[in-house]
Amino acid sequence: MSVLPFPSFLDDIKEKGARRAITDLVDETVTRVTAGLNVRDIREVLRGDAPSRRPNPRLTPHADAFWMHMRPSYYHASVTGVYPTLRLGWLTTYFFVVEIITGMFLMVFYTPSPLSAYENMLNLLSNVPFGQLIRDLHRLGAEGMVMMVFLHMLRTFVTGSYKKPRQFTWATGVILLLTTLILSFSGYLLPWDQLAFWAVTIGTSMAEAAPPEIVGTNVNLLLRGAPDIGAGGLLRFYLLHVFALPLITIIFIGVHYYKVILHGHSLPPGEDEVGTDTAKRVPLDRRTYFLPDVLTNEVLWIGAVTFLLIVLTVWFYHAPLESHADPQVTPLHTTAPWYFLWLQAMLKLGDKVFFGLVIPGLLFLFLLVYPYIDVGKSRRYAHRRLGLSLSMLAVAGFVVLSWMGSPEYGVETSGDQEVAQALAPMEGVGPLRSVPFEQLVPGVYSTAAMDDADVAAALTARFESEGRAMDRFTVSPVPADAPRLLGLMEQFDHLFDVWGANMPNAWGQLMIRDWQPGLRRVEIYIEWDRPQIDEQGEIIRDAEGNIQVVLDADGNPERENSGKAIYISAESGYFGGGH
Amino acid sequence: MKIETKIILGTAMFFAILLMVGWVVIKEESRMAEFTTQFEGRSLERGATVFESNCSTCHGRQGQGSGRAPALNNPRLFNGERLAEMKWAGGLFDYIENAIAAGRPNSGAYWPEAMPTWGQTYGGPLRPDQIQDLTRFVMNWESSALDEANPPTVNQDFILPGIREEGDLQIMASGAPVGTAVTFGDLPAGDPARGETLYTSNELGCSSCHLGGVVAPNTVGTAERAAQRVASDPALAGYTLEQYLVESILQPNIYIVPNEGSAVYSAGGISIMQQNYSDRIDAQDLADLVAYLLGQ
Ligand code: HEC
Ligand code: HEC
Ligand code: HEM
Repeated sequence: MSVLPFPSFLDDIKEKGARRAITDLVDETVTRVTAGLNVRDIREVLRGDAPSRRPNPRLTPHADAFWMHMRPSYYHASVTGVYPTLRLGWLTTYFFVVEIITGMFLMVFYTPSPLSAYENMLNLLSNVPFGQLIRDLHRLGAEGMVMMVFLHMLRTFVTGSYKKPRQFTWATGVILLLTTLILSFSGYLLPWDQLAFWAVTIGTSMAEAAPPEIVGTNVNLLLRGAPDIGAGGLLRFYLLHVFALPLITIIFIGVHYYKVILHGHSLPPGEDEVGTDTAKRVPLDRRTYFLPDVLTNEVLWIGAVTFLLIVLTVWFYHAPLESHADPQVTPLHTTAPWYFLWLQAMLKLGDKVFFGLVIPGLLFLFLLVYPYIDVGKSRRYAHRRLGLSLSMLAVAGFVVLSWMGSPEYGVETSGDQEVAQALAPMEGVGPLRSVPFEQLVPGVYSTAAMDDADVAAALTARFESEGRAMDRFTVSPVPADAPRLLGLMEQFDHLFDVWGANMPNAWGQLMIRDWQPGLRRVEIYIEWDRPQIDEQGEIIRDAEGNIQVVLDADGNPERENSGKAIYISAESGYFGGGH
Repeated sequence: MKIETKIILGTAMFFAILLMVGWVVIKEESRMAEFTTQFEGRSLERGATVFESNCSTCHGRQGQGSGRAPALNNPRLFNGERLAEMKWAGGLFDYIENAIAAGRPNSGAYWPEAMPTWGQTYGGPLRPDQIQDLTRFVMNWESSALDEANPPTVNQDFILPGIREEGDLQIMASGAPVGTAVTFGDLPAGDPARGETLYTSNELGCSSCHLGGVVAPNTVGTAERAAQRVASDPALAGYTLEQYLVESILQPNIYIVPNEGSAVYSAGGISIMQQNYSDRIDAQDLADLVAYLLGQ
C-alpha cells in the first residue's frame, strides 16, 4: 500500500502490470474529461454503433458536464433535419461566437480614441499579420448575424413556433433582435472613418428628436457624451459594443435557449394535432441522440460555414474603410447600414419623431406582444392564411422601404454634382480613379469631341473665338493608346442622359495635368445652358415641357458651369482592384 | 448522412481551411507592403487636396512660392542647405511636419503674415493624419526639385530673419509710413530703377506674385492694362493712371481686378494682395514703385 492517501500509479503497476495500468489510467482520464464516456464509448460513438453499456453512458455528460448540460440528450427526429429550423437559430449563434473570437483579436489592436482609432485600422491593415482577415471576418460575421436573425425570426413566424407555449421564447427573441441590431450598429462607429461617423451621426440624431425636448437632449448627451459625436461618443459606443451589449445578448441567448429546450423544438406544423404540443413527448423510435448524430452534424456545419466564410474573406469580401472621420465634410450620400435603410426611408416620409421614433417603437412593441395577441390555436399553414400573408407583406414592405431608403430614391440633388460624384465619388473608387495611371494622359478632353481630332480642333477654335482661357480649353482627342480613358469619356457623356434632364445642351470635359512626380490633377468640368427659375425655385418650361433658358444681351443662352478637381497618384493602385 | 461520411467531410473541410490560411500566410507579407504603398499614394492625393485649399494662396499652387511665403519646391529645401541654415538636426520629413503642424507664429516679423499653425495638437485646424498627408505631398517635390536638367520655377526663396547683407535696400528710410490718404500729387519724384529693386525684393515681394501672372496680374503690361481700366471701367471714373496705381498698392480692396481664366485674385471682395503696404513703405518708396510700374 502507498503511504499517500490515494492509490498511486506505481502501486497499480505492481498490482496489474504496466500495460493494464496505463490503459486503465488513460480510460479514467478520458472518462473524467468527457464527464462519462470512456475510450470504448467514444469509439462506439464515432462508429455509429449502439452503446454497449447500460445505463447509456452517452447521457451522463448531459447531466454532469457544464457545456453539455445545456444541450438536450436527444431531439425529436422530425426537427433534426434542415427543415423545419433551417438551422437559422444555430447559425445566428455560430456567427455570434465568430464575432466574439474575432472581436477579441481586434480589441488587442484598438484604442477607442479619435486620435488613434483610424490609425489603428490602418495599422491593422498594413502591419498586423492576419489583421485584414480578422477584420473582414468580424465585419462579414456581423452582417451574417444580422441576416440570420432576421431569417430566423421569419422562419419561427412562418412555422408558427411562436404560439403557445413558446410565446416567451419569441419575446426574448425580439429582445435579441434589438440587441443584435444595436450591437452591429455600435460597431459601425469604431473605425472612425467617414462612413462610421456620418451613419452614426444620423442614427443618434434620431434619439435627439425624442420628445419632449428635455428627454431628447439628454438621451443624446448620454449617447454621444457631448452635443456632437467625439471622443466621449466613441468611448461610449466602444463600451456598449464590447461590453454592455454582448453581456445583455449572452444573457438573453441563455434565457432564449433555455426556453427552447424547456418546450422542445416545435415539430413541423403538420405533425401535431391542432391545439396540442407533443414536442417534449418523443417516442423511443423517434429519438435522435445528441451523441453522436447532432454533435457530428454541428461539427460538420461549423466546418462548412467556416470554410465558406474564409473563402469569402480571402477572395471576395473586404470590410470597407473610408477616409478619416471629418465633421466638416458631409459626404454627398450618407446611408445607414442596409438593415436600417427602412428606417432611413421612414424619415424621408415625414416627421422625424413620428416616423423615426413612434412608428418603430410601436413596431417593436407589436412584435414583442404578437404571440399574446395571435391566440389562434392551429400552427398549420392552411389555417393561418392571414398571419402568413401579413408576414409576406411585412417582408415586401421591408424590401420596398429599404429601396426607398437608398440614396437613389427621392433625394434632391443637382445633376452636375451627381455626374461628378458618379465619375469620382467622394468616398470609394469610381470609374475615373479606375483608369490606369498611364492612360490618364495629360490634356483636355471633351465629351463633345471624344477621339475625333477634327471635332476637337473645331471646338478649340470656337472656344478661342469666345475668348476663353486657352490653357483650359485647348481640346485634344483622346489618344489611341488610352482606351480606358476613352471608355471613361463615353461614360461621362452617358451620365448626362441619366442626370442631365435639367441641364440643356450639357457637355463636360476632363483636364488632366501633371502636378508632381507621380501625381496628376484631374479636373471635371461641366457646362450647360442656364434654365430660367421662378420664385419657388422651379425650372420654367414651355407648353411642350421644354426648359426655358436664360438668354444674354445677344440672344445666346447663358452658360452655367461647375467643376471638381481630384488628384490621382500612380501608387494608389485603384486600378489594381485596391479598395 | 452516415457518421463516417460526416467525419471524412469534416476532416476535409478542416484541411481546406488550413490550406487557405496557409495561402494567407504566404501572401500576407506582400499584401501588407502593397497596402502601405497604396496608402501612401492616397495620402499624397489627400495632401494635394488640402494643400490646394489651405496653402496655395501663400505658397503657390505648384509650391513655387509668392510674396507671402517661400517656395516649397525649392532645391535648397531638399539638398540640406535649408536644414543647415535652420540648424535642424533631425530629418527632412520631421522638419516639414513640424513646420506645418506648429507653424511659425513669429515669422510675421519678416514676412507679410506669419506661417499659420495648422496642427490640432498646437491649436490649429488640421488633424495629425492631414498634417502627415501634407508632409508627404511637400516631400514629393524632392525629385523634381533636385532635377538639375530641368530645374523648377522658384518664385520666392526662404528669408532668414534679422540677417541683412551689406548694401541692402533701405525700405522706409524716412521712417514715416505713407499711410492710405496720400495722392499721387503729394509724392516726390520717383526713380524707376530703385522701384524695380524694391519691386523684386524679398521684403516687399511684389514680383513673386506678379511675375508671370499666375497668382496676380502680370507685371508685364501693367501700365497699359491700368490705362485701359481707368478709361473703360465706370467704377474708376475720374481716376488718373497714377492715382489708380497708388490706390492699387495701398488699398487693394477698393478696386479689385476681376478674375481672369483660372486665376483667382480675390475671394469675397478681399484681394489676395497684402493690405498692409501703406505701413511698410514711405512716400519715396511708393513714388519709385509707381515710376517703375508706369514703364511696364
Ligand atoms: C498666410 C500665408 C501662409 C499660408 C496659408 C501657409 N503658409 Fe507655409 N509659410 C508661410 C511663411 C511666411 C513661411 C516662412 C516662415 C519662415 O520663414 O519662418 C512658411 C513656411 C512654411 C514651411 C517651412 C519652409 C521653411 O523651410 O521655412 C512649410 C513646410 C510650409 N510653410 C508649409 C505650408 C503648408 C503645408 C501650408 C498649408 C497647410 C502652408 N504652409 C500655409 C506662409 C504661409
Ligand atoms: C500676395 C500676392 C501679391 C503681392 C505680394 C503683391 N500683389 Fe499686387 N496684386 C495682387 C493681386 C491678386 C492683384 C489683383 C487683385 C486686386 O486688384 O487687388 C494685384 C493687383 C495689383 C495692381 C493692379 C494691377 C492691374 O492690373 O490693374 C498693382 C498695380 C499691384 N498689384 C502692385 C503691387 C505692388 C507694387 C506690390 C508690392 C509692393 C504688390 N502688388 C504685391 C497680388 C499681390
Ligand atoms: C441573437 C439572436 C438569436 C439567437 C442566437 C437565437 C437562437 C435560437 C436557437 C439556437 C433556437 C433553436 C431552434 C432553431 O435553430 O431555430 C431558437 C429557437 C427559437 N427562436 Fe431564436 N434566436 C435568436 C433570435 C430570435 C428572434 C429575433 C426571434 C423572433 C422574434 C426568435 C424566436 C425563436 C423562437 C420562437 C424559437 C423556437 C422555435 C421552435 O421551437 O421551433 N429568436 N433560437
